[in-house]
Amino acid sequence: MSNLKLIILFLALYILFSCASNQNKIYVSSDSISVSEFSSSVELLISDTNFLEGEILKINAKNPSVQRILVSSDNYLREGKLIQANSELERALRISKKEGAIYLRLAHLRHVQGLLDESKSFASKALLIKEISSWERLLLNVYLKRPI
Amino acid sequence: MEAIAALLIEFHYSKEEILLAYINDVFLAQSGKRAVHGFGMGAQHFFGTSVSNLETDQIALLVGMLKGPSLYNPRRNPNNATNRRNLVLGILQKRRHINSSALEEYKSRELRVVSPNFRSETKYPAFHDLVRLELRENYEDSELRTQGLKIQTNLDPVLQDSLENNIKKTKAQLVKKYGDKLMDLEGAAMAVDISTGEIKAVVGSSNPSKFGFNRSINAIRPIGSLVKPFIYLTALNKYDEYNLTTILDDSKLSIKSGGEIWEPNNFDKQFHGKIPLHVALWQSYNIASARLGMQLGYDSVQEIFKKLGIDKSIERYPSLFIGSFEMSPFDVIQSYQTIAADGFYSPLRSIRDIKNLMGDIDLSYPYKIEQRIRPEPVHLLKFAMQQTFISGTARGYPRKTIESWQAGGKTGTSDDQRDSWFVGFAGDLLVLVWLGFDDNRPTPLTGRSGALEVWKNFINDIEPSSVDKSRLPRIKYVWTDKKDGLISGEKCKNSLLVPFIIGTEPNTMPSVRSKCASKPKRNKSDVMQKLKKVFEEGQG
Repeated sequence: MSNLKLIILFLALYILFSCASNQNKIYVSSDSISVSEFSSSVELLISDTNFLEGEILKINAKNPSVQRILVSSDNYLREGKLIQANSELERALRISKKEGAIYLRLAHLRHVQGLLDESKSFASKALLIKEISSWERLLLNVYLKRPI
Repeated sequence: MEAIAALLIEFHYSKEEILLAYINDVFLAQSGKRAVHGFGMGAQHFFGTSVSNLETDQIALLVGMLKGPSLYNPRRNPNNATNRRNLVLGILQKRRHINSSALEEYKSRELRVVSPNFRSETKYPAFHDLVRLELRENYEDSELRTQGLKIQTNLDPVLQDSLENNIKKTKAQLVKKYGDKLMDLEGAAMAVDISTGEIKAVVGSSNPSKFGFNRSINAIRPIGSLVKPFIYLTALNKYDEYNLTTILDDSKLSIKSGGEIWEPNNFDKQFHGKIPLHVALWQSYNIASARLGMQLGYDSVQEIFKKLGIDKSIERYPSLFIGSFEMSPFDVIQSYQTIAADGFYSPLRSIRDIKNLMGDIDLSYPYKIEQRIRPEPVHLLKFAMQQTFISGTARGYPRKTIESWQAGGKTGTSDDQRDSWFVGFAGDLLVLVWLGFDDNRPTPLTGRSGALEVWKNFINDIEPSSVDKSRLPRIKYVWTDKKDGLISGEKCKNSLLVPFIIGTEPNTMPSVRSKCASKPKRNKSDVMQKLKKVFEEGQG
């Protein structure tokens, strides 16, 4: 019996520890990265489209209905169905215009489509949103600085 | 030649496919300027419903018309049409598609054709016009009639119905107020999503369900003071020279123009002397605006027109700066979209996408965006346009409501009050209204007493959602005086908190205001603390 209690206690502690470490992953602030580490990450984001896409698709929307649509848009993007991906992003915008996650994907999608000026414009527009996080802001800035 | 074509068609397509193409394309009637082609449109035109809702006798009537659409037209020749329908029903019975009792039942029925005034082709003709214009850029008429395309539009039926009802309701209110002379008053209105440029609602007449002249795209009218934000934006875009408190001159002006002396007047027939730029805009002063336009020069103004999507070149007369410029409601709302969207131009679009018979997207009209002007100067202009609601020509709403909607607007009245305009943004929507007579005779209406009333009735009906202020780190708010534009304080009389691009704010304060400007701001917690202290002392 005491062994069972010990196992339950161990499991509970393990779950708590995992949640805490996951939270740390979610709320990484740019301040916690060293300058050299930070600039090399930004360089990687600018130069490697696949790496950048991976980071962007990790950004979730706060609104659950928007998030569901973003999942669908991301699937279309992975399948190379860019028109359908765009259609879904526009659907998401009709629900909320405060989500940096939508504009980031629009900026990325236009970049993939080769519409680089539009990609920059979407990034600039998203930077006016009050509620976006510093990580989203950094990713948006990548689209303003990406070479043509 | 026809015989060869017929043989080729027979060779390439099955009988069913040929019949399908034929019944989708065959001419059935004429509705005004529009030809009614195919059973789908025919069902709408004669019965006010889609073809899938038709009953056997109604289908028999359409089939019967094929021999002679005019001779067997059920509206013009109901007897011919009835006989012809009964003939088709008889054939159906002979071929055993219906039994004898059904035949008798169908034959005994009236034709049940809806009246020609019924909105048979489309419920929203003005919106339909815009869709057709956009389609024409990519499709031939024959493709539209035969390919079974499914067109998804941006129409919002709730907004559309509300806009239609409110233009009718407001016209009735104005007729009641000003009398029967406004019976022929016409109107146009549009509502668009600010960010995406999606057209949500369009009205092209004061009787919106009527087909005919669509004023939202075809009425080219002088825009009056709606031109002023374009002039002021030209100034604010030169932010090293102009800001919202730059002093303008609203004293008497005489200019020789085209061999004549031009002396503009303000609506209140008064001169207002030296005034800050933002006051001149929200009070819509003509003389200060004309002087500002001339200082800026035609080329600078034309450049901003272009950035806002106005391709038409301007005529180089000073009256341009107070509104002799002519535009259609559609073009006006397009140019204000760029302002409402913080300098990001998006072409207005009525169509989302077009799908083919298989349900695949044939053509999409994606959200396009182009940053034309920096957001900071546009933010300053939008601040002045917000004052239009708080203290200017569109005042009347509570300040809190206007701030939560981030609303702003501009009234416009042309010479002799021939045109009454209002354009305003609130929440996610930009809405434009025009009222006037088709024959261009004067109305008793100003932008405030006419078009603004439609705008208010519509906005009150739909209740826009609240929106956040844009995040603009380069903008700083400073208390300034409404008369001299210099630094003031919250406690000083006639002061207003005005935005500036950092580094362009005024840096002098008249000594008379040093006392009121230095008074600390009293906030609620201070008052509560004092009350608490008094209470505690009393207890002690």
